[in-house]
Amino acid sequence: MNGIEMFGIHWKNPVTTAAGTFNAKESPKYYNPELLGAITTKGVSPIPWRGNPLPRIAETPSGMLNAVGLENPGVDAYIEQELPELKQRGMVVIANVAGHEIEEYCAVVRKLDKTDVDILELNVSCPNLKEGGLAFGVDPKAVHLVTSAAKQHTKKPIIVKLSPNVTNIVEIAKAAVAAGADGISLINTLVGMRIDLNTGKPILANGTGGLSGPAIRPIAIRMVYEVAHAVDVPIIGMGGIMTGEDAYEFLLAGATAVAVGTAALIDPAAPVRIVQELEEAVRKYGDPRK
Amino acid sequence: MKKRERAQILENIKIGGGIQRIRLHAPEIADTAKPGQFVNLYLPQKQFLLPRPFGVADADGQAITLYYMVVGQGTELLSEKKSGHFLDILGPNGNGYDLSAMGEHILLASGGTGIPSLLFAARRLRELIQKSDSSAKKITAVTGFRDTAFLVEEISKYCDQTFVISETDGTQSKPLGMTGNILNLFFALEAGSVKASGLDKITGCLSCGPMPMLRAMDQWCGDKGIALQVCLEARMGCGMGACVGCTCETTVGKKKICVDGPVFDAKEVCWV
Ligand SMILES: Cc1cc2nc3c(=O)[nH]c(=O)nc-3n(C[C@H](O)[C@H](O)[C@H](O)COP(=O)(O)OP(=O)(O)OC[C@H]3O[C@@H](n4cnc5c(N)ncnc54)[C@H](O)[C@@H]3O)c2cc1C
Ligand SMILES: Cc1cc2nc3c(=O)[nH]c(=O)nc-3n(C[C@H](O)[C@H](O)[C@H](O)COP(=O)(O)O)c2cc1C
Ligand code: FES
Repeated sequence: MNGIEMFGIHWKNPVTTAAGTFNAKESPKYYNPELLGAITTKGVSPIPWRGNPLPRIAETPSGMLNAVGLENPGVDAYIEQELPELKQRGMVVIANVAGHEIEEYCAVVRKLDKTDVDILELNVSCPNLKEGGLAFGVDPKAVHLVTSAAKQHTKKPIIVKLSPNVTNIVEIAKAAVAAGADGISLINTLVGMRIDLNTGKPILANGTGGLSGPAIRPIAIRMVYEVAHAVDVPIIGMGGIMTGEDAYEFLLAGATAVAVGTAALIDPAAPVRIVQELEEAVRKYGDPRK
Repeated sequence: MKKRERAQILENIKIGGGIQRIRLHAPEIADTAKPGQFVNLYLPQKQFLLPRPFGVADADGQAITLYYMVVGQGTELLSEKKSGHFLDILGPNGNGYDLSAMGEHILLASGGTGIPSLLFAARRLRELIQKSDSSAKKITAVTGFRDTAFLVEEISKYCDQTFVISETDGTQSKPLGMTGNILNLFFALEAGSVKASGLDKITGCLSCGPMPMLRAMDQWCGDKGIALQVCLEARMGCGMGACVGCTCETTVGKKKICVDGPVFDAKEVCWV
């Protein structure tokens, strides 16, 4: 498939990594990341976050739960250690931004603004500590506030990554766009739980975790479809993409680009395989944007 | 480049004690695998996404050997696969034991399904001793089990002395016949109820088993100034360093068990 333009930036193809599933040191042992349209990196916070206790991972039918808790070394370490290497190799880089309050998002955005990162993606699925820990992303007002605040600290394009744990995804997407979001990505993980039959307690130390993988794909397709019909900005679609045909389905739903997450955890070379398979799907089914 | 690949099953049989031995044709993995490293096995049923990690128990020429206990749905399905069939596999993963600097008398201490990686270590250590390629002169294995013992005969081939203890079945425990855990066994041996030649002269220890056992080994070795390497376990999302599902706290910061480990210097581990 031919490349795409997003915010005036050229992508070789419409495939990127989903935040939190690409590791700049380990993933390139399995494929050349330069072959992807863009690289989306793991959520970074203003200071290092320790994440949740183990176990953080549980398997579910055609999916997985994760409760990593956004463990990350902080934005300074990201800017010093991870970003330069990716940018030196000429990749389009999307930095995923995390925070527990609006000022934390802004602190990260201010620092990233001074780097050569290409695009910022706000992960609004983080708990809003000032509002009792409910995710920013479930409240259109909170999404509006965090998006407009972030926009004031950078001229770089900002994508808002929506949480699917809402009744009306369109309302949230519209709030983000009204606040100046240049693009929308969706979906993040769905909140889920598994209970250990022997102990009667949740398997994850955190109790709940985020569900990802093919199990969530129909929900993701539906949400991308609804949002694409309601807003006018580019959309990065994700949620359970395992093959090129899955990616093609997201393009049909209205996505401009797609992101590969869980697939890359279980088949480390999946992102580049999906680039090739998507080309085949386009040959087979035609241009999805027509 | 490293990749998830298909490997033919050469053998997949019950060996007793609820344990299966599986041998897979995987020349590239067999060529480089070191004791303490593990492989990801993927189930052929697509609804089971996540890899099952297993320690490499042997590697020679074309094939690797793994031993697994049937504990859940995945290992159950695995045990039904016949030789001739194919499985997806990724490896070798992780760092492996450092066999070079463990001194003259090396202790291998296993608990339950921790024994496969130590079986491989025992074999490689014996080869080093035979080639006079190491400071090591003597190997002692101490193996603990919940119920039935397994792989004891195999590991004892490479060890100068092997002790067994079962938590529930004293007839499995050799030579003492007592029930309990590895630590109970050490104390009994130290109290002199059996001649454990040179147990007081252990210079280095490799240990693999459940966390509480490893923590106890850390204390036991720490008190005696014995260098200890521990092989840790965690539920894994990817087994290759991408998901941050498996990190542990160490004195030198957060480490991923799947790529920075699973083997760590016990002194570096922050025991919780
Ligand atoms: C580095 C490493 C090496 C291992 N080596 C061996 C070995 O040589 N022999 C052996 O019998 N077992 C070994 N284990 C444990 C083995 O991976 C699990 O027993 C196995 O994954 C259970 O799968 P299941 O589908 O039957 O269990 P289920 O409980 O149905 O599995 C559900 C999920 O939980 C995970 N899981 C369940 N128990 C464990 C566990 N104890 N450790 C890690 N993940 C678990 C599974 O991988 C799967 O993703 C090792 C684990 C690790 C991390
Ligand atoms: C282990 C793991 C870590 C993740 N970390 C992040 C993150 O840091 N920021 C974020 O916005 N989304 C994160 N996600 C969500 C993914 O980017 C993606 O939105 C979701 O998993 C759905 O896509 P998938 O089914 O292809 O994985 C993570 C998902 C997983 C499985
Ligand atoms: S299991 Fe994914 S990083 Fe270790």
